[in-house]
Amino acid sequence: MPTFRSQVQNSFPDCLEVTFDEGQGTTPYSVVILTDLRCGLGREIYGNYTTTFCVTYAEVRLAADCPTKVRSRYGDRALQNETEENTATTEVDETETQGNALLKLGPSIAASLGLSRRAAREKTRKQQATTFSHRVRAKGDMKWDVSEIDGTDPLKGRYIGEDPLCILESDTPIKNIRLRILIPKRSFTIHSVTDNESGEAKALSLAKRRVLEVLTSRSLDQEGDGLIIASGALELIDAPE
Amino acid sequence: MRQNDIEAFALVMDAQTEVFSELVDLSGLDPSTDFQGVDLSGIDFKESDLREFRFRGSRLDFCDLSSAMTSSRTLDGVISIFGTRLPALHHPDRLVPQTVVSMRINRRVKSRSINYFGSLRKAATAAVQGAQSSAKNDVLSALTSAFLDGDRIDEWSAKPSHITLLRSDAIYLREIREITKLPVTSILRAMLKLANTSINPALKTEFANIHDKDALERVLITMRRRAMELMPPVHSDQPELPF
Repeated sequence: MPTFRSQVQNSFPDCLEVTFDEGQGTTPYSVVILTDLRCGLGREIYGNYTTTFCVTYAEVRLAADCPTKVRSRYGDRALQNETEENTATTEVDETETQGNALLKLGPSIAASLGLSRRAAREKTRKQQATTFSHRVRAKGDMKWDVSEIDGTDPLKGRYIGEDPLCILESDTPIKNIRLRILIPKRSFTIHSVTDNESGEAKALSLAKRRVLEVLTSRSLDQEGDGLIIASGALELIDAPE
Repeated sequence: MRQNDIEAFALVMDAQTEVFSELVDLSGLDPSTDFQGVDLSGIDFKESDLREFRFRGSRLDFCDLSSAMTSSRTLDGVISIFGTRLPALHHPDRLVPQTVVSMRINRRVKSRSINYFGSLRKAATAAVQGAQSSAKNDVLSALTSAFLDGDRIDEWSAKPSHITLLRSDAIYLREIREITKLPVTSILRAMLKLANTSINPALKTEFANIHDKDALERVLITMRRRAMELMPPVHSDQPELPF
């Protein structure tokens, strides 16, 4: 089994803990990616104040130093090919429909448009389809979305780690793999700010809260529209000739 | 976090002011770059000077910008402004409601820039065809354009209920009146501009593209007739009606 050296850098490990390793069965040409992602409330001390914060959305990105194929992506799900659609037609009271239509248009407009008195049929269509919600969703280009189901709750818990994130395969030895965890600015949320001397939570107006969120997240590196909250690297140290 | 950021954190926390732009000044953040792609929904921007701010990619839902100073570029590229009170028109470097409304419409219907007469035509078509998802936006745009074009601009700007109208299902005159609380005469004045386009020779080509032209004509005639019934007598100091 080849030897990989793993490195992880994390700006807010309380808030988002990441591990990055290769798994069983890894060869230089096929790397099993093991990632553990745990989220919770972050806690940082800024002078006389302690702030707790969280994120509501994160994107996991992988990149390799050579062209790779991705297999067994975690959070991947093929959509059902067949969907079911039920159509129902309902007869409604003619007088009532006509009255509503006239009321809506006004008598003169309705008359001028020649509204038919016989047009009194209402159709309703119902579509039934089972929907699945995933906290971790695989996307293309070696990316994964991580969020709670409604998209606004803070990330709290272990989201990735039960199974390998994916398997990367290549015709040439894969020497370097990079992992980055990005968050959009708007997903960084301050939960509370406490005065260290009195121990009391400070009341924050919305304006102050938003300014502090931008200020706090400014220390993170930016990539495109996202902020890199954590990154990791796997380096093959005994590459075959 | 850098030392100056820690100091800025304390400055913002201890600040007595709640004015957004002053808080940003204290924080040392760059208003032209640091507030892009953030969620600023719900903030009251009272008395803020936002002329240097750029909110591209940000959400500004349910904000109050009515007493903020903005430039024509402040709201460029914002993701959404649902329920937001727009800047007052008395500021010299103002953002007129039409700009914001057009941004919203452009994003929703993915149309190209909506020109004035195009909106009026679409509003008339929508009135004929009945309520559609974008119909209220078209009516709204037509009304806003007409007001901005006419002498009723102050009256319109004083009532930011056009956002409510944008979010409603209103399409017909009665519903628009209930939401905007504008006098019937004001709404009709806007609609009359719409009606008047049919007798403007320069706009004949615009109407040539409407498929249901007969239906449109009927609506325009009805509108004019209704307007004649509802409009108050024209006084000598008021401009003559266009028909």
